[in-house]
Order: sequence, then structure tokens, then C-alpha cells
Amino acid sequence: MTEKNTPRRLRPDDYQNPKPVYAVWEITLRCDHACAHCGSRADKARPNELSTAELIDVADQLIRIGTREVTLIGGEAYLRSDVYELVEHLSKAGIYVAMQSGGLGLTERRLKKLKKAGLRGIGISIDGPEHAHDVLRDRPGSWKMGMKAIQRASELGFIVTSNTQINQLTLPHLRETSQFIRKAGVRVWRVQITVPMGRAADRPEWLLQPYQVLQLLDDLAQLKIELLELAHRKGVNPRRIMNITMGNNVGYYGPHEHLLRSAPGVRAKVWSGCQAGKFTLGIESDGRIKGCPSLPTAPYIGGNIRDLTLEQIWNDTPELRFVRDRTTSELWGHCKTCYYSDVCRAGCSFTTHCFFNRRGNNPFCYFRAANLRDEGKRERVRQIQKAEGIPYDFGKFEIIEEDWPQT
Amino acid sequence: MSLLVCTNCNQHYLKTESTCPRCSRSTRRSSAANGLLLLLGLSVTACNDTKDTGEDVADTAIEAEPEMAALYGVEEVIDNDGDGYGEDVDCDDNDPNINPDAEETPGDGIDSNCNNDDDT
Repeated sequence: MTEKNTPRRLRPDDYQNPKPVYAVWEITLRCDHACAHCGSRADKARPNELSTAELIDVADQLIRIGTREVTLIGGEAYLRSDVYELVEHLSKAGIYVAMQSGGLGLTERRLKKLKKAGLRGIGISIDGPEHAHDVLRDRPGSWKMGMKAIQRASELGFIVTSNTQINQLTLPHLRETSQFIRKAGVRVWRVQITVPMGRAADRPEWLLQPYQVLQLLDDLAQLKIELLELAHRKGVNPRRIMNITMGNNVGYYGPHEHLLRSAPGVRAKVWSGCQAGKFTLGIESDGRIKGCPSLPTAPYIGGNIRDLTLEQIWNDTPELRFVRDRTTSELWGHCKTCYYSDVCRAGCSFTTHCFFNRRGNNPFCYFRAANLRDEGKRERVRQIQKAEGIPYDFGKFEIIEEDWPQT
Repeated sequence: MSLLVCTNCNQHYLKTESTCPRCSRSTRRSSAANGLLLLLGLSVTACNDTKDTGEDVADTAIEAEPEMAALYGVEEVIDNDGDGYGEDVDCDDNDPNINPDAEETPGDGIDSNCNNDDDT
């Protein structure tokens, strides 16, 4: 199969001159959900969100700096009436535009308008089966509406993906979830671990424990192998069945790493460290800029687009440059002496910072958990400081190493 | 940065080293191909090196390619014509009337359903 230059595939010039190839843009914090695990505590719009003219100006700056793909998020991006204008503006400039949504209000009319404006991909988040999803989304009926949105978007010709938060409510239902979202028309299923940021920090009992990464990835790998075998038996391209992949905070370097991080038929991939501020960008709805949309606000905002140009923030602020400039000196704990320390750099920065108030040590790691299990040990996390209750906030956890219980 | 896959335990090891960090095996001595990678149909580079042992070596090099904010979107599938079929399976991704599930009109000289045949 010939590999094509998809927007996110890095080109030689990208390595020489890092640019925000991929931007995730929160255009409003207004939401029709108020999910119990929402990292941004989305609900009402921020009081000072960018105007339509400011959105278009930021879009022009993204185009000039070399961005090739934009995902619009919220809140719910579709709740802004000017979203169509923004999508059209970006799309006409050749940018691949997608939207991530809970799907509650993705009516046929909205989807058709978005498609006409040039939206190419839709991601609908489904957090496991109905009972788990509706608890996590804090809204009865949310699951049914989300599933309907997947079907509707798929029928209208969008490439539909689905994200699932993995936590104590959803981990037991991986097989069931993969089956019903595949039947609904999802082409890529991506799992990510729930991180204690925003409202999720108020529910520590929902969070996965580090040793459960072993079960998560073993189960996902089995499911993916079954899908690949199904495609092989049917004689169809595996991507027409469904691809299962991992979000950035799932991994790392276990036996399933390349299987779960790669799409069938293209170059095999493994984790190569956080790319925040190196090739990715996050924009908050009031114009604040960070290196990744998931990073907590306080420690990672490089500046506001109302005060500085995007180019200035990208090139000159340490909050945006940290991945480009850091060394392994920030690593601590098991990650400091890990075999993969130089290439991994403790996995996902957002995850480690939200758990431990600093980067550099990540117990949510297959390689680490497997080695500890060999020694009869495992790690647990325990909250020692609550979050203060503002968007993208976080508390603090400690790591407890203990004997693996006898079975 | 390139990593190799140990054919004994499927663990990755740095190209500059020859011992698997998980099973401690000297990894460049295996002759087994990596079944999972073959099943995935991934583009990989096999290292065939017989100078040490005389055995075939089939460790697989994987480039640790930066992956960008894979929390959202579709990293690899692009659907240029908006018919719901990405360029990976759509034999004409610039024509929404052509895709694997399109209706074939036999004899029109166009392979509308991407089965490599006009179904005359």
C-alpha cells in the first residue's frame, strides 16, 4: 500500500522547524452536558470568549504558521452559531477540519450544515455501555443520543471515530463497547485513561489504578487481533472493520505497543514522547494558548492571542517550548532509571502533571507495571490534595508501592 | 529513533543494543517473523543479518514516529470526496460516486464499486 501524506504525518521540514501541525481548538466552554469527569468543567461559556472576527484572525494565524489539521472541541463546538463560518474558512485554506463531540445536539440539520462547510471528520465520545456512560456524562439519555449521532454522521458520509474514557466504570466493558460502536459505524475507536483534571479530580474512586493498565492493554490487544482476523477471513481491508488505538496517555512499550498504536497497513508506530508544543497546539476559548489541549491551564499557558501573535507564543514562551527544550533531567521515580527514559520521557505530560503536580514519573505504564508484577509488586495512587474547582484544575496524588495480593 | 521488536517476547529494544530489556534474550538471534506485524500488514523494516550466528534474523525495526495529540481525530484515514470511504479503501477518493459500496453500472467503463472490474 502506498502511504499518502496525511495532514498529521510529519514531513522533513517539520522536524527542522517544529510547527503546530495539529491544533485542537476549544471554541467555547458552553456545553449541553456537564459531564462528571469533564477535565475543563465545561457547562457555561467563558465570559470573554473570542468573537467571530477573533476566531477568523486566529484561523489565519494557524494557516500562516503551517497548521494542517484542526479539531474543534468545546464545551460543544456546535453550540457556537459561527462554527460553520470557521469550518469553511479553515477548510477553504486546505486544512483538514474535524470536530469532537458528545453528540447530544448533533442533529441532521447541524451535521449537513457542517458537512457543507467542509467538516471532514466527527468524533463522538462514548464512555462504555449506557449505564456507565450516562453516569459519567451525568445525563440520562446521553448514550442513546450519542449512539444516534454516530449513526447519523456515518450515514451522512463523515468518517466517524469514537473516544472512550477508561476508568473503573468502563474497564469491565471493553468487549461490549467495541462491538456496539463498530456496529454503529465507528471507524476508529480510541481509548484514553480518565485523568484527575477538572471534575474527574472530584471522583478519585473512578480512576484506574496503575496496575490495571496490564489488563486494559491485554484486553484491547485481544480485541484488535480478533478484528484483524475477522477482516482477514472476510478478505476486506481491516480499516473497513474498525481500528482500535490508544490515546497518548495509554501505553507504554509493552508487547502490544505497536499493535495498538498503529493503524493497519501503514508505518508501524510506537510511543515517542509527548509532542505538546512541538507539533501540536491547544487553544482555549478565551484565546489562551498551550502546547496540547489537555494540558492543565495554570502551568502551561504560554500567552493569550489577544496579547501576542501565535508565532510569538509558539517560538518564545517556555510553556510552549518545554518539550522542544527539555532533557531527561526532569524524570524522577522509576522513570528516571527506565530503559526507555530517553525516548519515552514519562509518557503523557498532561496525565503525570495532573496526578503528581509535576511531570517526569508515570506509573500508568505497561512496561513498568509488568516488571513490578514480576517482582510481586504493584503501584496504587491515592489522592492527597483536592482540586480547587475551576476549569482544567488538578489536585495531587501519591504513589504507593505494595505487594501484589495473593490470589 | 528506531526500536526493534524482540521476537521472543514482542518487547521493544533500542537499535543500539542487542539485549531485550524484558526477557534479556539476545534478540538478534531469532528466526521467527513477527506474526502480529504481518497480521497488521504494517510497513516495517526487517533486519536480516546472518554474520553472527548463521541463522536468519527477523527482528523488526519500528520507527518511533512522533504521534500528535492522538486524543482526537483520525491520524491516517482521509476521505477526500466526503463519501464516507477514506483513501485507503476508496479507489477514486475524488469522486463521491465511486466507493466500495457504490452501485456498479456494468459496461460503463468505470469501476464504481472498487472491485477492480467494470462487471460487464
